[in-house]
Amino acid sequence: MKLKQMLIVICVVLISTFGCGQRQGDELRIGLIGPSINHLPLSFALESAVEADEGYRVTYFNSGWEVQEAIIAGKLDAAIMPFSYVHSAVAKGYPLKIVSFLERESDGLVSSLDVSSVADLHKARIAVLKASTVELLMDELAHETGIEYDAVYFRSPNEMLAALQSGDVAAAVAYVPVLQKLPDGFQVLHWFGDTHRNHPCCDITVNEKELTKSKTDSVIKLMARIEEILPRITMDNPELKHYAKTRYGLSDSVWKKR
Amino acid sequence: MEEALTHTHFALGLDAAGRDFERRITQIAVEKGYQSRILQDHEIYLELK
Repeated sequence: MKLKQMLIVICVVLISTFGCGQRQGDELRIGLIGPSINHLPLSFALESAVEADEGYRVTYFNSGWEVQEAIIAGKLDAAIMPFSYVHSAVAKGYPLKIVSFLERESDGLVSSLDVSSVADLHKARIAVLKASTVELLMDELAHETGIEYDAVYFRSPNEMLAALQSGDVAAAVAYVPVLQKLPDGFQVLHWFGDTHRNHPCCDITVNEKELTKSKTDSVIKLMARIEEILPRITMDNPELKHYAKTRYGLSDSVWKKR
Repeated sequence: MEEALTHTHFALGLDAAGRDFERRITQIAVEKGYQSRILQDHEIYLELK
């Protein structure tokens, strides 16, 4: 009888120790490409979730390629990544799935101020990320505008920007976090959102093999939190202003720049 | 900052317009030899419930 009572006590202790709260194995591992403006609603949602200890772990990467490699290798359960990388991975047989679109538009063609139209870039060297959404969009734009261009490939957006500034390329196709870093003398010549309204850019992607029932529930809960937060992503939201200033180091003057 | 938010929208879902756009752009990837084929919706999209 005493042994039975002891077993019950041990079980209660074990359940209270390991059965409550989020176990490390159930933690949802999420990959993002840098702390960029693109991920504002997600970062908002994640940070509040992390503060509440709801079992999310975020890892930042420098490029879409790195995120793709990590999620394919099973080092991530979910990621926000350009859709082109997801499609190409799935076509090769990797167990990825897009569970929701999230970031729309944000991509553009940038050049120096002396370029007045896309037609001016005929036969020019243009920086793109190989096999990425931005290269594919540039191909479509070239086809539609009747120009030919010489694609120059880079592995990261920052490298493209450096090549543009040094004059190694005449233009580059990039997206909002990179475009914000443009110095004076450069312009966004064409926003792809102007011709493709609301188009998906980066999607919420999961590795199906890594997705347990518990992690599936975490992804659903996270998307519900993002849905709640989306209406608050406005310039006049003081909470967003405070967050952007602390998270991205943006000054009041940058915030007010209109 | 305002321009960043003006040209970046956030919206959840797997809407048909988004799927069509991804399929159209992926067709270019196929033509360039980056990808072997266009995927069926059930192969690439998953609605979590």
